[in-house]
Amino acid sequence: MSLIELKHISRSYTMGERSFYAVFDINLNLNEGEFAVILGPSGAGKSTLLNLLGGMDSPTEGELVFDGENIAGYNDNQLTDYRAWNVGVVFQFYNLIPTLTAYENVALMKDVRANSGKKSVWNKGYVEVMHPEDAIARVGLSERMHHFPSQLSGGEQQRISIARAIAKNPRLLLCDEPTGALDTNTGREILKLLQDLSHREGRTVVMVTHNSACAEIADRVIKVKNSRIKSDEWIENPKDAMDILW
Amino acid sequence: MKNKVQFFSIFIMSFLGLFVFVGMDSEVAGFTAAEDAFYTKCNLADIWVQGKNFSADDLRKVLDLEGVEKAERRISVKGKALLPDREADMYLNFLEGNEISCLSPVDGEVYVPGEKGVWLDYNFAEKNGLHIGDTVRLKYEGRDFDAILKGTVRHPEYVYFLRDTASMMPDYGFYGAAFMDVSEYPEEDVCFNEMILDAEGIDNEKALNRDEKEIRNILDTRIKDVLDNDSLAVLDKDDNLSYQTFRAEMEQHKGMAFMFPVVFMLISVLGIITTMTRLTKKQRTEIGTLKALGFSRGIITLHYISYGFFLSLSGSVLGAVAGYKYIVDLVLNMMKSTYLLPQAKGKLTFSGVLVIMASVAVASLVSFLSCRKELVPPPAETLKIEAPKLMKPSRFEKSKVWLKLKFATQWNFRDIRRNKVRTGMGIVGVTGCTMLMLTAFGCLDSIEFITNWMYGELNTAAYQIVMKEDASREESYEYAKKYRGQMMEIAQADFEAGGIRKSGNVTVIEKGSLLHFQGDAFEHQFLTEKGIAMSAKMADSLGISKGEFVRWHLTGDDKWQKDRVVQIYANPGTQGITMYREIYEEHELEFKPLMILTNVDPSSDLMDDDNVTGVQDTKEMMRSMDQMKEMMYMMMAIFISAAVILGVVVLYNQGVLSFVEKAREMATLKVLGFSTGKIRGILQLQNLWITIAGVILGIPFGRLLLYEIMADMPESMDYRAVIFIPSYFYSVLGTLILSAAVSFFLSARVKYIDMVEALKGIE
Repeated sequence: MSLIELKHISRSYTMGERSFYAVFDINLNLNEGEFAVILGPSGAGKSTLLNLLGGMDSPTEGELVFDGENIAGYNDNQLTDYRAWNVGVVFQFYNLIPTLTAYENVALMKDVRANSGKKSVWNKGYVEVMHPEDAIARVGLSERMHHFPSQLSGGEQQRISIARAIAKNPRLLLCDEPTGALDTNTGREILKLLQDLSHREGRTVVMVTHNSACAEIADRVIKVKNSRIKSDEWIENPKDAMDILW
Repeated sequence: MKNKVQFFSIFIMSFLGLFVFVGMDSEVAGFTAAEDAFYTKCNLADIWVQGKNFSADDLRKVLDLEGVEKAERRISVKGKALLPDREADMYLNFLEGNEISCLSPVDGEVYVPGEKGVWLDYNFAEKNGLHIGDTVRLKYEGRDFDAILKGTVRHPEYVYFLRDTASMMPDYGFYGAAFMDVSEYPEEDVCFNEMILDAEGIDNEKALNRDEKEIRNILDTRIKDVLDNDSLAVLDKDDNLSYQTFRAEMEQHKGMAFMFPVVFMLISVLGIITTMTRLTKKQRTEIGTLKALGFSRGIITLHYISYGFFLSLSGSVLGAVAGYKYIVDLVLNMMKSTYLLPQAKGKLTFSGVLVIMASVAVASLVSFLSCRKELVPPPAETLKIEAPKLMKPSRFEKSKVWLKLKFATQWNFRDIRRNKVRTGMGIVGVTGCTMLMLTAFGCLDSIEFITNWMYGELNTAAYQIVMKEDASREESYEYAKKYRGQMMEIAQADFEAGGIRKSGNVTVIEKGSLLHFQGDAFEHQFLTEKGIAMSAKMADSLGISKGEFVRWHLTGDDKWQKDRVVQIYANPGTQGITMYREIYEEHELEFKPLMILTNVDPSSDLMDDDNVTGVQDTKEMMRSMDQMKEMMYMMMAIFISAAVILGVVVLYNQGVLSFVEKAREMATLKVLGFSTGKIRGILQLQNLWITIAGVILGIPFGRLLLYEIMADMPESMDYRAVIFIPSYFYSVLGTLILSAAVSFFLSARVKYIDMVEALKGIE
């Protein structure tokens, strides 16, 4: 079943007197439980696509339908609400709050949901926010949950970032170059974690990367170039994350 | 340019500090210089000898004394000026010469001894519409006499003068001083009651130093040796109300001048620490690169020190110029109604330059110390990305309560722990803001309180009948009986305890229901019948307390008395001792009740009564306090403006710093689904905490400042620092509104945070 539909989506920017398209006329369906990778060189438009999917930006043209709701015309508050209920984000540089411990960083999500309120259009009886300890256990860092980010390695910080993203049980997990700042081994471990989240727990994961090796673990690879989708392929037997090389 | 708010705040704090300091310092220096010049020009008397009837022979004897350069006799008495609509109290001075404490002409003819006519203090003439050539009707001892107004003058002994000992504030124009040749004296027997002396070795200006005190004491003895006068008093500048009050006021201004730069410099220092630390941390890689490229550590260090150096230099210099230009005039104008001095001009002093130098030196040093961490290590180390600060959770943060706290609370708590200097700067700013507001409102409250205290609680008489100086005791008793009044005598006296000597008043009262007494804590008490009671301020000045002994003698009476202080009372206006008539008489002193307090309106009956000098209405005395209130409004405006500038600049600065540091975190929170309102709430919460902490600290500091201001009042005044409940409310509310406005304005920026920033790499 299709979770997200992008219909003729374009996003243009104006710089001075010149305007240009960061993404142009994109048509795409993403299904629930799918692990999709958006692959492309820098400047191709993949980050813009991620921003649009995550409700961090709005398209200038086209429709973006999430679970039957067209969010393309949403205002700031509606988009915040959309993000609070549906989207989990894993950042390239983890973006943990340095003054909070791992546990507290994950516990933040309770506030996000509480803040959004029960009247939200997205409150359709989804599963509750996970207990921070459970979320951290899911990424295998229970022993280090009371450490501050500065006391954790890059890989550990990224795990906590993933725990934070999944803690609110989002329907869409967006990952922006999640291995970009990590060494190969640690990167592989992170990818394995994401793969498991999708394959074992049925989460919809969309990962943006410029690293084609990472794409081998996905169910689907969407290649982007010059603001357009160049190809959209289904991988029948994705590799196990621990087996890839780069 | 990115740090313009922080740099501006360093600049503005240096500016404000020097603005107030140089302004007040130049004002004090200018005013003191004008006063000194005036005293020198007029040759202010060095010694005043008061007695009953100084003969020409007495004058010769004094002139012959070693150490006496000049001497003049004069009659100084209290009389009236009969104006078309009222009788005004006048200090009448009949002069024999004009070489000591001489008249300084303002308008009209210059006074020459022997010349007929009257010279009035210019303020009185101006306010009562009297012109040169007018005939002025004066009254002394029930006798009217006319004199032609020849000129208006200033007099060095009438720079500050009160209507009578019961008054608390001057209200020039309502009463005044007149100067005439002795030939204008209306009585047949000319009784000189005062001699003024120019002594060798005593300067006209500045308070008496140790040598001058010694000269004064030697002369005191010599004068008393040669003059056979049973009521002799030898006084000097320190006993002179006009001289002393002005000096005390200048001391008070000096104190305030120093307080301001200290507060502003503290904030400026905190500002420099936060800004420079942040700046060098941000430019760590550039610093490392420059070092690696071969730039010497000295050159790089100099570059960073130059920020603090130039900001504080430009701020200080501009502040000094602006303070000199604006504050001086403002204060001089405020003082005009209290001190009758020639027009003074601000005068720059060396301390102004010193404070500028100190401010710049401190700023440069603090800049250096803040940057040292990045500047000292070798380039290889500086080029590496700095490891984040390690934080250990406190016991509270490990507790279960902590985990139950909201994220906003946790975040702000930790943020404050990590940024102590920045938070400290915010708290100091808010503290200063509340402190200044509270002091501003407190000044007004205190004046209000003192007026009500004096004329509503301690003295509940509506009128004061002042008897003629030679009225007999029986006559006074008669009037007291007629008007159901309470009799009182106030006499000047000297007090001594433990080597400290002070001038003050002895108040003697008959039993009655119009004068009331309160203890040091305003508790009601009855005046002791067992001995003497001493005013709290006098006891404090003499360093004695209840149960200890004081030596005292009346001015004009050489006999020293020794008494145990049985009671301490508080009185804002008159300092000294108070006792019942019976106790006074036990000292073999004669009770001369020249003042009768009453609630029966006697004015119409007593207009032309020969035994009465005048009737004073309490309402009129309260009016002079209103004038002081107007001066206080001006002070309040200055204090509140300073409070607002301080609050806005510091809170805005600390807010911007905090905002810039957390921009990435806020962008992340936005991506995670926090609404703009929620994030603004988090920022505002921290601001609220800082404000509350500042307000809590500001209240005691405000009280302390007000207490200091009141304590610096002249010794004759015991003004209590009082703050009414609404003033606490206004100051706290004012600070909160200010803080909320700054916080609202700052947090509005959250809306414009770009979430995409969060996805980018760390710069």
